[in-house]
Amino acid sequence: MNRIRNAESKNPLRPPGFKRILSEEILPRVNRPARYIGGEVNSALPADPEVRLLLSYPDVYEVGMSHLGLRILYDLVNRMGWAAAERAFAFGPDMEKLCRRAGIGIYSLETFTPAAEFDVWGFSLQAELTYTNLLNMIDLAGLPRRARDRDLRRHPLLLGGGAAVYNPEPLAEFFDLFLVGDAEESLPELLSALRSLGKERKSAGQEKFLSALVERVKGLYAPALYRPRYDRSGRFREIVPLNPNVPPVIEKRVLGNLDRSGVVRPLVPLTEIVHDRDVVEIMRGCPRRCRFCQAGWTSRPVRRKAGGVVISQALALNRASGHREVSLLSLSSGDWRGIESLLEDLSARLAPEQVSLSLPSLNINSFEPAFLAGLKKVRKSGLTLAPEAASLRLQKLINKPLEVGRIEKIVLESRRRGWRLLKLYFMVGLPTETEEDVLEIASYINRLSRWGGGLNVTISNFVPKAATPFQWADFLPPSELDRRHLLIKRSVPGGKVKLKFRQTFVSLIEAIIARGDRRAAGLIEEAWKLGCRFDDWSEYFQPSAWKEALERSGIQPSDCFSFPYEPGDNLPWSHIGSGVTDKVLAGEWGRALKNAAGGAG
Amino acid sequence: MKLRVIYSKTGLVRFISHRDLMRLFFRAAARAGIPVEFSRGFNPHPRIEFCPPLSVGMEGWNEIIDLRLIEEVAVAEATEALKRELLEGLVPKDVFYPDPDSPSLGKSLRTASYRVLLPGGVPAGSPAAVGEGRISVHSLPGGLLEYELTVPVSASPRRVLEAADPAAADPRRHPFWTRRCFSGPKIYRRPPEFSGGII
Repeated sequence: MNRIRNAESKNPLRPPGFKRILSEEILPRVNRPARYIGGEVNSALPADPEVRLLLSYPDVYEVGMSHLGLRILYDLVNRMGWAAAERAFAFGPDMEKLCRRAGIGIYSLETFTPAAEFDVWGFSLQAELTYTNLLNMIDLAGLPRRARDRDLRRHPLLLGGGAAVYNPEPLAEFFDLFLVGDAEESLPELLSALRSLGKERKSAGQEKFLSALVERVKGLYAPALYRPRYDRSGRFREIVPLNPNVPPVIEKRVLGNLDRSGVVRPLVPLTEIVHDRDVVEIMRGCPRRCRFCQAGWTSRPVRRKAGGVVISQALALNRASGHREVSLLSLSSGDWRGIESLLEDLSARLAPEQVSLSLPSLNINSFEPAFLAGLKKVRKSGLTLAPEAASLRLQKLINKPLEVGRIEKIVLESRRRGWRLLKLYFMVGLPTETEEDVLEIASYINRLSRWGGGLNVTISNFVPKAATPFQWADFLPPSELDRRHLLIKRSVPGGKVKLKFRQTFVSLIEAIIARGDRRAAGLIEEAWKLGCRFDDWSEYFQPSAWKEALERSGIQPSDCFSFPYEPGDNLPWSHIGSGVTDKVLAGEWGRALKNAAGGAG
Repeated sequence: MKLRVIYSKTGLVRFISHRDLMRLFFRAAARAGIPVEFSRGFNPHPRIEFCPPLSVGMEGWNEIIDLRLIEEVAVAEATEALKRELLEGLVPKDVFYPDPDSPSLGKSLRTASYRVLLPGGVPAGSPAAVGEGRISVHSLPGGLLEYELTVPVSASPRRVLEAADPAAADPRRHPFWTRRCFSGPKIYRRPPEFSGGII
């Protein structure tokens, strides 16, 4: 408490009466002010923590609070006793405007402490298009954006983790550390290293301090301790450690036993969030090998939570939250051995409490129509299926072949059981895709449009991601993607089917950043300076600002259209060990092209 | 049977919308083990009746919620459990079983009275009838003006204040609104207390 009161007087970002200005002048004038007030059930903190961590997601409360990883870490740290985790999410545009005017920065929802006063500020990095929000949050906290302009003796240590760390380079200039892989063990280890290195942090040089952390905690990447090399033409060559004590390749951390992960004291959100329910992870890693899927390749090996643990966690979670829906999460829940009886068991225990059960991620091939019976208590709003590719040739290319007639069987069964809406996801722009492949998407949609309910179809654009077999693939120019969208649009009659297309220029930006090297920082920073925020929200994405940012930063989109590296070359992310070697990925890439060339048979 | 909870909503929780508050109340009741009845049908929902929505940002001192229960619970225990499970700033002030034959909230609420605090401005006037409501103004120590409004529950208090004094309702002056209480037959068990305040 003392610490907070002292801070109040000297921090310029906390003017006197900070909370009063917030509650009387700012919150009455913003959208959804409940995003910014904190105080949720189960948000109490340990008293007098030795290490204070701020956890952030670079999007608004409703999105960030829906992220399971953040909630797992929040709960875990706050049960450690000597460390405390608080939260801060991105300000919406209206909140940002009013807070900048009043001199109020990002603050924690638990104690209203300015972000700049924490020991560590951790960001969950899930999507390239949240990176301008990330810079905005750092800036709104009154911190220099670039790590080299900050001072670790008095500024928080900026830590990144999550799916996007498999290519951390575009963010390397902004962060002090990245945590690669599962954080359940490495985050407590890092906090404990900070607890014992408190003195060194104040006295030793920054690099010495960072290497002390890296030596103590496996899976940490400190970009300042590595230097990228480019050749004369500006082509990326390699990343070299500056110091013999840091590993040339940072291998990801893997939590061995998933039974030990889960939320005990769930935060109960104050306003309806995107996934407003209890979530129990039942499996980490995915046994499928869909070649485009970054989550699938980087979260291996497959670890399954025991059925008894799933049930006891779900029931305890639900008692502690009072939610009306429990959801079982994994990348492909149909592949959890015995899922049918688990659903039956759990649904029987939840039904008397009027709590329903949902299963959001089902691979079509593992989707038994019988699952629909176990889910009968769920509100039958929509059933989501993601074939991704329609032609058999491309299904083989992405390694997601569908048994003929399977979708039709699922769809018929779901209609019989009262579902009214079917959502389908497809991708265009896959390697080797032809006009015939695109037209097959249209005929697929037309075939299913007669299923007897509503049909929403989302067409997205293939974006090659790091650490997948498609990391060497080309990204198609937006104009060509637009042409393929049009092919589908022309062949699907309007009316019953709602078609939605991902903006192709948005995908280009995503593609550039996803495989960018350290120089992509310039692009992100220029876009932020030009006012880009919430780029993932179509109403906020500003194509002209991004075009300007591309020009100013000198980044060439052509590198995306014709990817300049081949298997065997060093890639900007080759120093991050995702658990699957480039040799394995290259083998898959070769097989993919061979499958695709094998014709339609 | 119906369990009535009189509660106050003050401090930062006044920024929670009515829709979100309904969800929070239901979840709190679930955690507190209060057996709320569900409607039947395709998409069952908890049978909870609220007083008319409080605008986002307004405080309330004597807000009302009726929970329809499957079975009777001890009032003292329910009160304690709700106190534990509700957020800071949402305080159950009185919990009781209204007369079984008393009409629903929707039928018994007649008027709502509000207080609006404003920094400085026009001097005090005498009470007057404005449109559907009644309004009075007086000065408070510290240079504050206090408006008191009583309006039918169906009317918008903001519009009544605007009609009486457009400047007072201007959001740029940061008027601070509190709903003090409701009037109507057998709503409260005992006279409502007026407490709360600016944080």
